[in-house]
Amino acid sequence: MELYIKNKKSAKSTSFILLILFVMSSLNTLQAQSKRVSFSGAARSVMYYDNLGGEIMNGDTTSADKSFNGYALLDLGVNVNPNKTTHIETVLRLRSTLGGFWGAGVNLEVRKLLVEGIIAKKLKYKFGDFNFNLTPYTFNYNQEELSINEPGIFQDYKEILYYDNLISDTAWRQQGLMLDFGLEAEKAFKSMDFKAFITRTRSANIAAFPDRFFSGFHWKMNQSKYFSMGVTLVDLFDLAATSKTDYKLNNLVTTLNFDVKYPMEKMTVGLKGEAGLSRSDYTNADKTVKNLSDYFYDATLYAKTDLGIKAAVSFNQVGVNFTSAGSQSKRMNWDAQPTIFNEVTNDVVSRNASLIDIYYDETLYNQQIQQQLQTYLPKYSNALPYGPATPNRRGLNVKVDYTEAKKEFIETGISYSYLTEIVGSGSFNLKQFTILNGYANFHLDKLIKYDKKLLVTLGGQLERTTRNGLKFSAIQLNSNLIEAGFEIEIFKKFDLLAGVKWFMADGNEFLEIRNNYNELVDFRQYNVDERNVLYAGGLKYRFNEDIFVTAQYIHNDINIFAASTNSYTFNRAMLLFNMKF
Amino acid sequence: MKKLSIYLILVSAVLLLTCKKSDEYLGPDVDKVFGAYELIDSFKISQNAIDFRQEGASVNFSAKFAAYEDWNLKITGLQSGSYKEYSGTGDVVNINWFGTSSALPVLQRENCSVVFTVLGEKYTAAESLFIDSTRVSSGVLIMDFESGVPTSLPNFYQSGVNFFADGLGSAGEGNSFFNAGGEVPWDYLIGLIEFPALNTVGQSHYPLSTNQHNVHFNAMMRGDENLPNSFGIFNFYEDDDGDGLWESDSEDMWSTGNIFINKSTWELYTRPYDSLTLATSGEGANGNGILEPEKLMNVEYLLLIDPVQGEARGDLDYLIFTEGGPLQP
Repeated sequence: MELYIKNKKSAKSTSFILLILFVMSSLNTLQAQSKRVSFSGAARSVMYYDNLGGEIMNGDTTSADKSFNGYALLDLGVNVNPNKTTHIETVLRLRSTLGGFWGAGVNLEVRKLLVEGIIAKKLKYKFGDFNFNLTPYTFNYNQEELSINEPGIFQDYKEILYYDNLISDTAWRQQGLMLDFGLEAEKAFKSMDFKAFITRTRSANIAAFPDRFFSGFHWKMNQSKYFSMGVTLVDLFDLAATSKTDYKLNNLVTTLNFDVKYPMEKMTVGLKGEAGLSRSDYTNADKTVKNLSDYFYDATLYAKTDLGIKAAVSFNQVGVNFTSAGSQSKRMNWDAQPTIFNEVTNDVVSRNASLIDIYYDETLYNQQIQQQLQTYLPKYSNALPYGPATPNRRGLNVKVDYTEAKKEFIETGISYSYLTEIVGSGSFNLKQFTILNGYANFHLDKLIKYDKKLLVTLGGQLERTTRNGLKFSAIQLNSNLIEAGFEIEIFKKFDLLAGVKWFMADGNEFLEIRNNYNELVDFRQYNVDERNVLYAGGLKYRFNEDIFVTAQYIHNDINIFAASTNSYTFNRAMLLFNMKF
Repeated sequence: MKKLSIYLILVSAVLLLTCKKSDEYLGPDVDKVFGAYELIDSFKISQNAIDFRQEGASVNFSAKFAAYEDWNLKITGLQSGSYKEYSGTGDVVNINWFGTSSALPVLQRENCSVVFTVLGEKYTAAESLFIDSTRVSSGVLIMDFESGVPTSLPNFYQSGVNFFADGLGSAGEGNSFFNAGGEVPWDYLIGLIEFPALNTVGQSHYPLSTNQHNVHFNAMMRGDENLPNSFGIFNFYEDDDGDGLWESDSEDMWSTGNIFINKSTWELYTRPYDSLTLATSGEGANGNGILEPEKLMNVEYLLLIDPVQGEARGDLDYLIFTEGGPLQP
């Protein structure tokens, strides 16, 4: 034994493996004895070979331009039902880096531990790790930038990124307690649902900052098929007693939402909306106190027809000081550095994340609610960098979606937004933003009666920011995104995939520098003139819906026109096996 | 519903069209932050002579630029070498100077040079200014030694030291100071001097407010950087029972503790009254234990050094109580 266990880490990993085998063996026995225990999980193995080239590597004698990486992992979910009203779920992850022999590169982590059940047949509870969201202005994990209609070839790995970052749609992973209570009635209302929760979002540093919690209450009433409404209250707060510092935060958001709809013979029309207030109290280390409060409202008139057309017109306004950490936190962490080729040139310059990093680097994603408005890159999203709850915005959105009802041959949609600031930033003149985006999915197999899958997807977005002004305050920023995807099933379950994302931005803006209260205090000039194109092609074999293997070649071409010596290419060859069970 | 839709669009259009300009903006003006240098109004000084004894007397300095600039203004006393310095960032300079100094010694009755610069060698302007009379600091002056060291002040000093003496020239304020130094191979104490309220302000108690948090004690001190182990202590005697006497067994003596005097230049020592500490035992530890500045009847200064360290130095000048904050020299 001593010959093989080189160090404590190896010994620890070996112990974990033995422990898992023991637990699996024991639980297997239990499973055989009853149906109280079941297993679920996921497994993945990936290998990729990367190459960095282009002008940025000219004369670079210190940075690596090639890299091989890979790993295999197993997520083992154990579901235990000790009785009819209790469910226990845990997910253990065992990850082994390729080349990490004898357990040296093996990590074990607990990805989920949840106890849930029903008390007295009425009160549902969840205790541990769980995902949830509320309304777009209270608790919502905003969609990341540059994603309109994702080509299928990029979706496979992006779903892995989401899975690894515990993202499910717009729901956040939280750790704490949730209670859920429902009522049904025949008169006055159809149903009511009450939710209350408290989660811990940050542990204390005794000298620097206290424990941070996120708590809230949500009430929803379905009065009839015509009317529903809800009240939501969320509070991000610090428990001052857990730290020696006097610094603490309290960010309270209260909203009211409603939905009035009128179903008719061939269509339904409705009006829905949400409005609310936020209040933030900051107590500084020197005991000085700062209070900021503001409001928002959002109203949408919508219609849905049996012909497959959905249309909506929205108007919203979000105040300058509206603060809602649960809905303004960004999914992408633009302050993070890419994992691969993170430093380049002989001057050891940090490489900024590009499209390939957004799609293939899981470390760029934010998993925590952030009180401070995070860094955003105007070239990727300038109109609504913090989602619908972006402060200091007022605007109109018109949206139409169409799904061809008979053959389901096409799904398409278009959306146009016009927004302005409410108060100018660094100038009396207001910035004006326009966003035009659209998508289309063509199921050609249904059109030409091909008996296997044949899909073409298109997506695009044009975003403009303008501001009148003198030499420096004038702003003109354009960014364009075009996406195209192609998937064809050549043989049964064997697909050929291709996709491209073409992004271009040029113009000027100002990066906003904010203080601890999220107030604008300074600006940095921001100029951009670049083209960023991501191509990918590959083959995929689907064993079934949950298991596939794919080989892909990805090429990212980054042209920085303003400083051509910073232009580069990033190529990746990847083999991925993925399964869920 | 159609009407509602039209109404919503009209309301939205009106709201959007009416918000082209706001009457305020967030953050600094970007045109001024990033704009090019341009002088709009050159540097001006409101007068070339000033008597700061006049109530509210001040000198105004102004300039204006097209963009935000980093600027510096320095008024230097040609005799004392003292100075007052302002610096900032902005497009408008508008400063009223009330005769304070940025460092000790304080400015005297003297000619001064005034130099205004925009950093980056973009602009420089020079003016002259005569200080006809220096400002009078508000507060309760204990002693400025301008008439020498009064012989009426109780004192003790070891033989052979230069403790109880007038110092002339290079004072912290004015022209003279309390010159204290010497070597005592057999004792820590070089000497001590008392400043009873009766001998300084002519009253039995210092006329201070009852709010201990509002009162600050200030003294200008100078040592010798080659004698860094010299230290001084200020003691504050409160007449707790109000009988005009200080009794060691029943009244408070508050103290600053050891103040190391290790700079060869004048330094302002400031101590909030509410941070003074009570003697822990023996004399001065037996009063009511409450800081009561209005009952202060005597201030004592001791100059000390470990005998093995040799010579000590601890000059004094301009002892003053201020209210609401430290002394602005």
